[in-house]
Amino acid sequence: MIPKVVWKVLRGVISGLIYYAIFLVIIPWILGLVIRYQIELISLEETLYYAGVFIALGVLSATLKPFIGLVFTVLSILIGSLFLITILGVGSLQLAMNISGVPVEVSLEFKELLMVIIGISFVFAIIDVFEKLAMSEE
Amino acid sequence: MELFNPFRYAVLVSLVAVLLPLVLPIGILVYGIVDNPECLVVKTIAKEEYIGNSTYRVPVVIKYCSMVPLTNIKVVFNSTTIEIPRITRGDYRYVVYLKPGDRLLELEFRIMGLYRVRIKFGVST
Repeated sequence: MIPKVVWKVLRGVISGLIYYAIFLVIIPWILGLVIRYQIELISLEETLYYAGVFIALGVLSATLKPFIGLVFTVLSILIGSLFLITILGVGSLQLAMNISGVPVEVSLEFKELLMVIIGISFVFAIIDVFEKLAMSEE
Repeated sequence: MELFNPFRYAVLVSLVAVLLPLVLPIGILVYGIVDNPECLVVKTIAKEEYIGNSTYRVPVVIKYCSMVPLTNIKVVFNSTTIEIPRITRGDYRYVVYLKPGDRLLELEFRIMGLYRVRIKFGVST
């Protein structure tokens, strides 16, 4: 029989990986696919650091008492949003290219889309918080 | 835990419903331009007419092939700017008054009034 705390840690690791995947892999990948531009994470070390932050927050959120744990759930969402905003250049991408030998600089602003994505991720965060509160009362 | 799942699904459905109309225009336009680089072209026609004071009357054609409407279009030359409220698929003809050496500096527009795109020409990379 695996102790309860190991399950909690595993749940935390998985939830951390899910937050990492949503904010730093899936959303940038979908946006990159739409605008046909590879949105790059800075380096492998930083990628691992980001993953570590989310996993640590996930484990803390799952193992601590619900009222304290939900603070870390909210932190995961806030930090995820912050990373997303940083990666996407506050919703403004600039790229330089050559069109028929003429150097061209293209800038694209998609702040509205970014705000909608972040707004909806906050709604999911609120659902998580309410869920933890409901679980703590059971 | 299941108590909140219907709410989660409802938010997920609303997420898709909100994001699709926001993402589709930009996707259609970008794919249209990548598939056909001549999809959005601004060019001057060599039928310029000298009107005095070192100024030429030059016809400008804007060709656009995508079905996503563009709004707030600004075509910036050195000495003049064309402002167009909205264009859809088709050819558009305008007349500008240019001086010798003037060239297209910048093209700015909004994709369906949402996303601002600015293209600067001749900027060293």
